Amino acid sequence: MTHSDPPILLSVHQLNKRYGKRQAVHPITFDIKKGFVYGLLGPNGSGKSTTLGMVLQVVNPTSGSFTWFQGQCTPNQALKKVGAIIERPNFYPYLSAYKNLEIVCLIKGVPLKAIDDKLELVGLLGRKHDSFDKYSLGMKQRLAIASALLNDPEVLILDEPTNGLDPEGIHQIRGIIKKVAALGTTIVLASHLLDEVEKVCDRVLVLQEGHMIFEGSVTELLQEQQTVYLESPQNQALTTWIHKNSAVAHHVPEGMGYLIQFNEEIPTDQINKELAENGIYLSVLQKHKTSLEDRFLAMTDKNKTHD
Amino acid sequence: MIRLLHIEWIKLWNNRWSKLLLFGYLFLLTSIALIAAIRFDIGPVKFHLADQGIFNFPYIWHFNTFIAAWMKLFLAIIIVSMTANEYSYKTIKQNLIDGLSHADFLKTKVYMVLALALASTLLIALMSGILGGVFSDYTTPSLVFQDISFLAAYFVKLVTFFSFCLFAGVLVKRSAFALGFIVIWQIFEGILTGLLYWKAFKNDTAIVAAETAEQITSFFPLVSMYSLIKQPFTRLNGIQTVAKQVGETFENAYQTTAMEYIVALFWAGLFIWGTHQLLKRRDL
Repeated sequence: MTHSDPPILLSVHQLNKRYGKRQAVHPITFDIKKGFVYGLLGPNGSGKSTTLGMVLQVVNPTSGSFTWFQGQCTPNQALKKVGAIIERPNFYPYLSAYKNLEIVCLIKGVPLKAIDDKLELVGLLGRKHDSFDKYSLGMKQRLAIASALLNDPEVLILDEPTNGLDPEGIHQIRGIIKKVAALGTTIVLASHLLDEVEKVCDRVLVLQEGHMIFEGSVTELLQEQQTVYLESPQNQALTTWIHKNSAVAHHVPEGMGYLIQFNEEIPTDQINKELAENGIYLSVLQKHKTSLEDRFLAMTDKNKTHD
Repeated sequence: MIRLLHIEWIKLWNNRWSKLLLFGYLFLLTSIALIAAIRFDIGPVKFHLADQGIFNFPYIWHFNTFIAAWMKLFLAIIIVSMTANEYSYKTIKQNLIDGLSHADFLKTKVYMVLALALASTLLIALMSGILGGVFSDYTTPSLVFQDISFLAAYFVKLVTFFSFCLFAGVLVKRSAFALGFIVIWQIFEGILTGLLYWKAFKNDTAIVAAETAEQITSFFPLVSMYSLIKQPFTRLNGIQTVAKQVGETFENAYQTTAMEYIVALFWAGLFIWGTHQLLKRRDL
């Protein structure tokens, strides 16, 4: 880690999109910095694809602005330094993989010799002369990734890259993403598959109904709250204690006991002591590693009730 | 420019149907030459079409461009489907994401239009030159090149029509429906023309009415394209002779006027401008 901040590759300021009466994306502001893997999280219809569409210039923003590479080049030149796939692989079905990538090379100004390298990386070199419509979905998705990597992009944007794939396909795509991330490529990964994001991302942006409800590191997000599983023969007393305890953020009955989220980090021995002092003796006290999924559900749930 | 043409060429040339239509077009265009082979020998009556003067300079420029212009439909289908497919395959979205600007995307399509129109014009020029060289009764250079401006009219006619196809393809986004749109537009112009004549006849004498209606309809896009090359048949000696015998004379002006060029080019420009607006404003 150096002391100087990593350079900002994409800066988004108050960007928003309205489709008729529906505000698909409320004004959002964020930066994408060099060297990180970002997860863009949110349920379907939360505005992830619209946001990416705007910075990739296929959706016209209602207002707000964005700047690629600190404004050092025109938006179209900037996109030539970016690799992106949106939703599903869009290629000319009658063209071979090679011909499809040849078009991308011509658009981005990349020498044609890059094609074979990238096809090899995604394991499609042997089938480069097959036409795109003969490919399975997994192969199509891998071709899309090869296409996005042709120019050795400074930023790789992937929108739901494992959507609709079988477990093996998902595994392959993840492997490729990890390989690319290891090379130091900045990645923005939009997904609603939370374990996917948890596995590969450093930082997350969470969108819900067009609002950005969280931005920060994954560890920050997971540490913010701690989950503990409690079980006691004095169930009634435990329930009362949970309800009146202000440190409890969220609780759900699970099995014989409760899954409890605290607002702050409380050592488990402290919990044990306090409950014993209240005459509640625990039969089970278990620290739970919060998954991003728990966190995400809690967060989106909380926001819904506030609306 | 070469780069953008190259991109479009890969898309076009590797498409089986486009290739088939291109070859079909090429075949039909060259088959104009086969007219030369038409001859009826029924006893004493010997009729050889090539001897009727249709391949005489300078008339051949007019005749060939007029006939060949009908076959532009083949190229039109290619243009409409190549454009509409960008939407159905969503490849336009990917092209833009890969860094092609809206203007550059439009340019790839416009270059394709210009290239196809130019290729067709050159082919028809070559064919007319050869056919004329073989069959024409007159070969003095002044006569040979007299009506060569029909080639320019032919080129403008194709460019304007193809720009219309381009616009229809982008507007409608589905090739079959875009072709339908073009047909419907043709019918719409026909109905409008009919109404105009009918309206004009109610107020004026026949000749004045027809002139007024004609002046107005000449500004319609498809009419403006059509009137770039007027029908050449009444120019044929044989037909002129027949007409004289029944006491009728044709006084049609066959040349393309500057105004006709301007109107057609205006439409071509408008269609391309409109296409650009659609591309820029639409969310993908």
